[in-house]
Amino acid sequence: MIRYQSRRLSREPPFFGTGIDLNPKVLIVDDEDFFRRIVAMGFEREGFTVCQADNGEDAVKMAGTELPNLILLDLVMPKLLGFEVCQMLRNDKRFAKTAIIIMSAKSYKPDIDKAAELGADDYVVKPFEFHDLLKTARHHMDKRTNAS
Amino acid sequence: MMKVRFWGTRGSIATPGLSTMRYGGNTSCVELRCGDHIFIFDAGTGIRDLGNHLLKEFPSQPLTLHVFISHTHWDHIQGFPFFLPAYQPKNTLHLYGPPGRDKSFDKILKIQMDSDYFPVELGAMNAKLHVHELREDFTIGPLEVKHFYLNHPALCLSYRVNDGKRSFVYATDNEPYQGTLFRHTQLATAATDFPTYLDEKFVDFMSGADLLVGEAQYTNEEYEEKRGWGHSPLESLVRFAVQANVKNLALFHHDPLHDDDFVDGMIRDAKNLITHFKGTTECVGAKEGLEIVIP
Repeated sequence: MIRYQSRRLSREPPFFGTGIDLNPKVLIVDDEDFFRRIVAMGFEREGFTVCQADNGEDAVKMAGTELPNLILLDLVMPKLLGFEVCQMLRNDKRFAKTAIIIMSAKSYKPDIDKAAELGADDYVVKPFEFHDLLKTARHHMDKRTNAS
Repeated sequence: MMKVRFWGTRGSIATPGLSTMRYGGNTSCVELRCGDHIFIFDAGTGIRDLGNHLLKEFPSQPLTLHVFISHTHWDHIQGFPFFLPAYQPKNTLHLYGPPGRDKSFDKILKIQMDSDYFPVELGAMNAKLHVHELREDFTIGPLEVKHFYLNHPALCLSYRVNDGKRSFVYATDNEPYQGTLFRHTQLATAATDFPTYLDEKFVDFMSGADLLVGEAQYTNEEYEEKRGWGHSPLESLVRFAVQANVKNLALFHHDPLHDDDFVDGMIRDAKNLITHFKGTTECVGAKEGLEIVIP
């Protein structure tokens, strides 16, 4: 299990939508080390506290202890698939305000539809531009936070 | 020695008829014998004949069979209800496959044999059935079994079996990431290498295999119309096989629209491509009844 909290790199507090936690926490789950680290660097720069896991089983455990505002979830991973992780988290009321975004190289409609059915807020196909992911993440965090 | 025999070579749907008699009309099923071990890859309609053959070969001896399912689309599981060794209490079947997206592998197999679809339920199969959702690589006796997720609109596994000296790879229903992801991105950055990187992982998985049973359902021209359907154009499969230094390639999962003469043409094209890529891979077309021995 990879577990650390990143140092905040930016001095200025970033802008998040109304009601969003000013010190948001993101859990990035991907078995591709380089990919996970690149995404982590981007979120660190934006002032997020970053947690990382490289398999689905650790992701579920870490989500329970860290209670992140945002979870970025790969689909095909060892131990538990992203679909299974998403389904488990969405059945847990503690994550009702947590945005879950799937990030996968699988770009087929059945996968995208099933992720939505299992409660994912969005699905981004790899490779993507970081600022697009960030924009999507902020949108869904805002929506989840403001949802009654 | 490894001995491979094809019992079903067709993709998508069983295609019996005069025009497919040479390569066969049954859907995916490949048998691998290695010492006393019997491995079966996929349970398309071809598994019915394999089951009948096993009953004749082993009329009284209890069998332990390892059945590896690539994914649970119909053409890879539809023959299982007709696999007679699964109904004999003396036999033990281990079924391996990927977890479903929101249902267990076990449940998907049960659904196929729900009474709305088939008159006999999975639970009525009297053999000792053990269903395993694959989460990690493992060994069976001296044989190492590795798995790799392919790019297909389902959770779809490729399998590699190594006995220490020889290796066999079963990889069907895989679309190159270069085919699906380049159409999704307009990035003019290094990120566009990402699909190539993913395909290279597949090449690594197959590296040095003595035999690759690989899917190339479409010609390059057909692929342009069927991009995103989860299957390979011939050129990609051959290129990957050559890059992986695969010794023998069996073209598999023939398209139901391809008659025997058309498949002959694809094999010729594959051989020309191997030469073009300066490879040394030998290529054959998978046909029902064909046996390939890896000495």
